Amino acid sequence: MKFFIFEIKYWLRQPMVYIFFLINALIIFGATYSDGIVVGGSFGNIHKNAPFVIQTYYSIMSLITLLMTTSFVLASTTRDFNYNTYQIIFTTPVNRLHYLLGKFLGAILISIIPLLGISLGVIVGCMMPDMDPEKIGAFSANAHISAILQLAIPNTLFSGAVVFMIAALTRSTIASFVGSMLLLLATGIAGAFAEDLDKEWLAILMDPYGSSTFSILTKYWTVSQKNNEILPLVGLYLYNRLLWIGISLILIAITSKVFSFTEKKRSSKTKMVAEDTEVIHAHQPLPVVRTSFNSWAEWVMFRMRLKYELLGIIKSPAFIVLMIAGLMNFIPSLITSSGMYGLSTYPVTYYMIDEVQGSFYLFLIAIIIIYSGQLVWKERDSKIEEIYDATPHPTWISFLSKFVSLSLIVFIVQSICIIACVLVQYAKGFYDIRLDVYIKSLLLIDYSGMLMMIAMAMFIHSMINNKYIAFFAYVVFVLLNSFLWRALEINSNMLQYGGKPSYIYSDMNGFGPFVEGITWFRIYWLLFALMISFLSVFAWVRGKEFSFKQKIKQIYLGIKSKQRRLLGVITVIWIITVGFVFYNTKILNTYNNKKEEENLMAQYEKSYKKYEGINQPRATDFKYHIDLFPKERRLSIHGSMWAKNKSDKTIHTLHFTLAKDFITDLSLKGVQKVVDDKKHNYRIYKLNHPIAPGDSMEIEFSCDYIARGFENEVSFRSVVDNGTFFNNFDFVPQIGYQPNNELSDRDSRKDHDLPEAPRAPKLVRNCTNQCMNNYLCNNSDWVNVETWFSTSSDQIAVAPGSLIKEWKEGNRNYYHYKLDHYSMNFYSFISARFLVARTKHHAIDVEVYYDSKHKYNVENMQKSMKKSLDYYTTNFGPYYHKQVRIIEFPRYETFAQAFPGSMPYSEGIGFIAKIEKEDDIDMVFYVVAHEMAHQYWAHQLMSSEMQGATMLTETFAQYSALMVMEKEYGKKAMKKFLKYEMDRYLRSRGTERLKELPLMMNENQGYIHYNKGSLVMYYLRDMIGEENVNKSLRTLLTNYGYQQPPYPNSYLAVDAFRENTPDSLKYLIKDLFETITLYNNKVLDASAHKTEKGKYVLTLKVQSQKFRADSLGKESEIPVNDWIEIGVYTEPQQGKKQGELIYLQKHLITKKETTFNLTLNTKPWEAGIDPINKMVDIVGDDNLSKVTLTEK
Amino acid sequence: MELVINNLCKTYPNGVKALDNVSMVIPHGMYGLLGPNGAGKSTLMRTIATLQEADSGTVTLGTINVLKDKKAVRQLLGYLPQEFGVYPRVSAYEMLDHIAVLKGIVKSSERKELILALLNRVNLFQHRKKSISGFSGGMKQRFGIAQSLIGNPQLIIVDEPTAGLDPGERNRFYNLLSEIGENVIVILSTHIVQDVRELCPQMAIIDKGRLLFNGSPESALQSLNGKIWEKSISKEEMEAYQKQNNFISGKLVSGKPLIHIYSDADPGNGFRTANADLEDVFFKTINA
Repeated sequence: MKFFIFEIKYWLRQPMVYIFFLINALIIFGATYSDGIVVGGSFGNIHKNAPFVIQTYYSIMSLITLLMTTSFVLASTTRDFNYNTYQIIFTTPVNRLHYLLGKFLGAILISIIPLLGISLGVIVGCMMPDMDPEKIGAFSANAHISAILQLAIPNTLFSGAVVFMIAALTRSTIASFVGSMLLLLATGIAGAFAEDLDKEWLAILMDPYGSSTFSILTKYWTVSQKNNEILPLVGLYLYNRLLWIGISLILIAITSKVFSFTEKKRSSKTKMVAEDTEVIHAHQPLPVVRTSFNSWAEWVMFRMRLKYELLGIIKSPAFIVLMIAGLMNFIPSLITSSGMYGLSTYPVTYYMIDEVQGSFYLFLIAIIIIYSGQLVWKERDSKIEEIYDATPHPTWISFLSKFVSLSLIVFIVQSICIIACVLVQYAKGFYDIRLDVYIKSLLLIDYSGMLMMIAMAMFIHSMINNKYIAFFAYVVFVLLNSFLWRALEINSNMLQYGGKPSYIYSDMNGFGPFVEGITWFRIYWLLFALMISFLSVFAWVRGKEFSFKQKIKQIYLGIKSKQRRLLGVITVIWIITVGFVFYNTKILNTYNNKKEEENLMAQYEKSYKKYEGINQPRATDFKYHIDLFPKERRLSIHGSMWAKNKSDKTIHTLHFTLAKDFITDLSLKGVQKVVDDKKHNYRIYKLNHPIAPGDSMEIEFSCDYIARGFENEVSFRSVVDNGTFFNNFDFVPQIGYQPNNELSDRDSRKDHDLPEAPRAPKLVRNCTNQCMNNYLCNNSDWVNVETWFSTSSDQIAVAPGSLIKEWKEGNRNYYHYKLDHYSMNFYSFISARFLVARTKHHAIDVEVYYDSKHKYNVENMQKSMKKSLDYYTTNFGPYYHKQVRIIEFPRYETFAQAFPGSMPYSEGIGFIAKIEKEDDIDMVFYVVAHEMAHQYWAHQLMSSEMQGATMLTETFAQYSALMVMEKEYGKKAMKKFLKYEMDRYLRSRGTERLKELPLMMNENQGYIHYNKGSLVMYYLRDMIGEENVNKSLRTLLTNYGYQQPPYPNSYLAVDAFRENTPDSLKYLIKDLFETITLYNNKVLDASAHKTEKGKYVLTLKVQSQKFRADSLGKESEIPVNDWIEIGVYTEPQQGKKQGELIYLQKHLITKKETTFNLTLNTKPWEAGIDPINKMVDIVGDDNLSKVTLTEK
Repeated sequence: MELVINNLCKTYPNGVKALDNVSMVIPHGMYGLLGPNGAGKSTLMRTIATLQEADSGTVTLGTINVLKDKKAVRQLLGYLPQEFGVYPRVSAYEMLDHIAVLKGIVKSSERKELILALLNRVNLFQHRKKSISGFSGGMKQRFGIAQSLIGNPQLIIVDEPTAGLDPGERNRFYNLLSEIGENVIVILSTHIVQDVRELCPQMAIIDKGRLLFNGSPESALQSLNGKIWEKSISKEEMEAYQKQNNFISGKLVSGKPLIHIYSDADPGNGFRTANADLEDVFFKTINA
């Protein structure tokens, strides 16, 4: 007990515990107060202080604080050895158990204190006056207490027990830190198990910190559960906690038992040197030496210091540990990179670089933070500073040797990373290695940033005369520098230390439009870093004078010294750079911060919302003459559109919203400009000759874009050297007020006193007036498009429709395209250095335009296009274009999008996807089939701007793609795909920002129209048959394909399904489309016995619950009256996971619990309800159970 | 070359006056700086060794302004601080080589010759490859003196070099110091009176930042000759004697207090005359 109290008193007097506490509190405060900082992820409707969030913080932070615990426990267990007091203590008659446990428990109790910072952070964060009260729930003391009891204490105990064991037995700091690093790593690996859905229970048991357990058990929690419930300490969670508390106690017991009181032999490194008594030798004159202090001597000093500092870092334990831990974290993730649907990609260089940045930089930054301080304090720490400082070396040698040595280390580490990446690429059989990209990304862009970090850290350490405060100050600086500017809504790279435009490397376009800005900002900040390095040298502590006044004096003397000329030159160059950067980013180009941007949007709405929906002509025919100059990033467009008065009233005024990235010139005849709002890009013209109903007028316009100098952030990445990709909305002047330009974020709208905006207009049946606009645009319907498109001689330009003519003129390529059939007014223009793969499928050109580096999946894409065409033309109806094109574009965006006859597809997805294993989901095939389906579901059947609109496009496209995929890959592959969809849907509904809606009323919510859509349509197909589904879809197309306003809505689709559904299953329509319905099916008992005739009688007791959920996920049970499948499997063959399905029947289930008696010919192995997981099931993995064989 | 200190003042931010108008002239040879702990010795030493700033006053070494031209001083300086550590895992040879480079000995052959000679001189030759962190206190001090001798120093400052050494080690250390102290200025700061008596032809006594005595030990002793009186007393009497203004010091001899007092004439009362030693000078000066 006295050791316990001593330990606590000791630590409470140390700053460490308070610093750690504050760090944790600050992190969590940041996560609570700002949406920019995310710890574990809480968003949308989940309260900032929801019990779920608090528990998540505690489980994640107890992993992060492992190193803090290590410091405490390690120091407590080894302190007596370090200060040699062990000899005193161990000779006194203390009980060794008391001694050991007292110290250990004291350290543990202290280690828990920093974790409590989490609660402080949450509580203080919620008290901030400008917090949105809707984001804060009621204070729940229970949540804090249970998180502390269930997570903080057991986790700290476990971390402590492991470190305690290592520290007490080895008494080595290195071993202890290595041990805790390994622990961190092992936990990470256990967590990785959780990603493979089948091994969850294992992950739960192998999870010492309960964080994986917590996230697995709550992954399908709804918003309301997350806000109100505390994960109860039962079941797997309880077992996990008990297991690891048990393990901790065992570790402690073993340690106490083994720990020896006899002093371990001193290691050979610190061997005492035997004393000799005979001392002074006969007087010998010392040799005469020459001393010199010229620049050669300074070079010799520098070289020696550098070598010494380098070896010092490389040999030091913390460096070795951090490197090993970093590489151990980094190399596995390098080897197993995976993308969507568990699919891997080719190890292209930029992915490797992402991995370095993602999984290694944390360690590198730790090395920089630790060593920039360690080096500055090295002489003082080893108490040699008085001897060292009194030698006649120039001060800059100290600074420079330390700076250069750390810089070299970082450089070497970066180079090692590159070598590791290249080896992995080779090992994976990938030979398109881009060394230049490695060098530019890691050794130029990133490395220069690290030099800035080192310079700033050393500056802070030479300005602040307390090592710990300086460390703390630097960490605070790093945090503030990363978050403060954003919080203040100042996003100038000229203010954020080391700021530069963010960039994306693209295989197609290299570093493209980012190069100039990055280069100049790097020069700007490197010069600044150089200037503060001069100050560091001036303020360098030499001797025993520490006062701040002294530093100021030293700096003053330094600036006056002979170095002033050099410093002056640098300062002048820097000031010129400041001017140049300012000229480019603020005068040649302008940028708005988020707030200014929001202001503009809010003012646009406030000024012009009143014109929304006024009678305006609608565009019908477009002609474009486009001249693209890729090298200069210049685009010049002359266009014309015919605008028709489709109403029965005369139109007197014309309203336009102009595109913001372009300089637009509208040439209208016979008009008077009434409003020309350049700030909000709005124009109103009064027509001298009003447009009578049915009449049209031609509107000519020209739009120009040219990149000038460089920007603070590259704002328009659509026009680039290789891979220009833009669509008509990017430049065409839009007739009328555009609600798409309104501020959409709920909080920002509130800030600007704008009324809450619904995500979509309410769904109404039999609508006419409300259905006059489709959900793509509000000023046109089906349009004709003709394009003349010129580009540089090495590029191919693609526009919508068939290629009419292609020619060369001057040094440029010209193309003339024309749309074969009128289409939605939404299409893209692309130009790049393409290779083209062309085939014909029936009368249709099937083309892939791709970059020469990305030929991997071209054939597969063509196959998918053909298979899709086959299925869709057979089952849905004719295809009206003469071509289907897939066109690659740079990965500035990562999507694929369907335009009439063409599907631009990002290089970042699909083109580098790698289908390795047989049972991998063929993502490439699927995405192409989906986009192909949009040629029907969007480009033929277009829905009105209203709730449920995307059901007619996205959900049907999902269904179509599923059908094409199933034909190609079989039902088994579908099961895997649908499992992902189910998982995605159930997870996402728990993070919904506003409210979940039934499918037919969804408001463009991805997890509903894609993920739930897949499940719903596949299940419907299963219940009513493929032909009935397709018949419904066909009917829709026949009745509403290319429909002029009013546009159809989801009622019509649901009605079509209802018509083709037998009465006995009509309930499905309500469950699937009109409501949010979920099930909880599970097996309660499954047993079988063999009859005398050699048959098996299976008794299967199942439970089936049906729930209706409200918009926040609050579920209420409703009576079940559904046809649900019952299935039985045989014993799996060796090496297989599942046996053959020997029984599968739909049964009408009307009670919560039902028992079936089935007679089977084969021995049943597994049996269950909804065995293939076709229904939306809250807990999907208890639907099957192993059959127990009984005697009778 | 002489070291001349004029009106040197230094006050620490916490208000402690470490140097209060100190002036002295330090010639060639060993110079003892005597004073109790906290007297300002180290501040004075560090100021001369360019490691601290003075508030006012001047220090000149020959023609060098010590407070301004630190670089020039460092080129002539050998300094052994009161306490020092070493880099971990570095051998004596490596460390000396390191310091030799920093002291401007550019040629590695010269460095090698010098360091081996120095190691020989301080009898660390056979331990030259061993890590200094494993050295005993005496060996470490010898290493310290070796490093301070690198580079032909003209001004050697040793701050409390004998603290923590046993008497044998102390003797050896003195021998070494006196040898090198013949042609250069050696400033030896100590609170042990005996050190100065044995080594230094010149000395100064400072206390509370003030210079109290400056001259040769002999002249100091001479001034006290015949004026020191001693008496054995009981412990109970001690307090009364201590209050007398002529009280110099009291120490235990065979468990009984023996006190020294200063008196021009025989004070009687059982006092007998005693031989004045430097300790009396010391206490007389600082108690005055």
